[in-house]
Amino acid sequence: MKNKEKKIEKLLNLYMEGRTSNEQENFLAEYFCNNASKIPPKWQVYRAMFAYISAEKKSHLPKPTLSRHLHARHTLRYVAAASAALILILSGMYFRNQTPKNYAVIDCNIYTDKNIIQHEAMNALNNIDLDTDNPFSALETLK
Amino acid sequence: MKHLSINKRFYLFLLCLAFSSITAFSQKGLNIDNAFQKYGHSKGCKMVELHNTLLNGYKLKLYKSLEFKDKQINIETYLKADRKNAVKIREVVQDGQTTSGYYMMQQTSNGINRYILFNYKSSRKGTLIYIEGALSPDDIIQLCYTKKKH
Repeated sequence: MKNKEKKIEKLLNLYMEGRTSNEQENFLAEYFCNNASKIPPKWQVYRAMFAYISAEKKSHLPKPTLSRHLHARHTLRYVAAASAALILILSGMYFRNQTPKNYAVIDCNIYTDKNIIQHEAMNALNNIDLDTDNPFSALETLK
Repeated sequence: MKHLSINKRFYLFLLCLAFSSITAFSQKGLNIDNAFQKYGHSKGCKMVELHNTLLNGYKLKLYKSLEFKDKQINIETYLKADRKNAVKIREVVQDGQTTSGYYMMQQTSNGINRYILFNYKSSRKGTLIYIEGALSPDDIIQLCYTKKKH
């Protein structure tokens, strides 16, 4: 125990002079972090210092790469998005088929009465036909 | 990582396919279809759509008409775009402006004839008609010029 304390004291002196290697610093940090109850009062200052340094080192560690579990989660999101798109298409197709095939829309109101539809269709054709100059006479050239 | 990127590409492709399917579903290949979609359900407009019907004694596969009155609608843009692909064109020009006309469009893959007819004196009043059917140009003339009493 005394030998160890001597070793620690020697390393602390070197540490304060900036002459310790990484391994020696890690040894000191491990000692002060794992032997809290055995550290003499004169070294409590060093305990606090190495505790702070250890905490700083941990905060700068590279983030762990995504595990396979998280990869699967990301894949699931894309599957969910694709499924949502598919549902959107099917819903659109379903509602589109709900629109009556023959209908008339007059001022935003939909009519499916056959007579109304026929009447409006003929009105539209007559609109084109009303010109006295008969602009559609050239349809004959389409023969 | 390679495995994930392949999956990602597949799902993105699926999404693109999904959205392109939606757009393909709603297009008939003509620009005037946009006019029907945009203004057909608007106030001041009348739209009629008939499928596999008999009109004036003529069998039509599809008849669509759009009438607008007292409403600012610019159908010229759509007509100009379709005009480029017309097989035959006839227009009436008054004071430098095209006021009426008809375009015979390319047949569909099933050999169905397609016609666009339009008449507008101003941007606030007009009629746009689209017809599909086995009608010949003679039939279209008869269809347009046969007056029916209602």
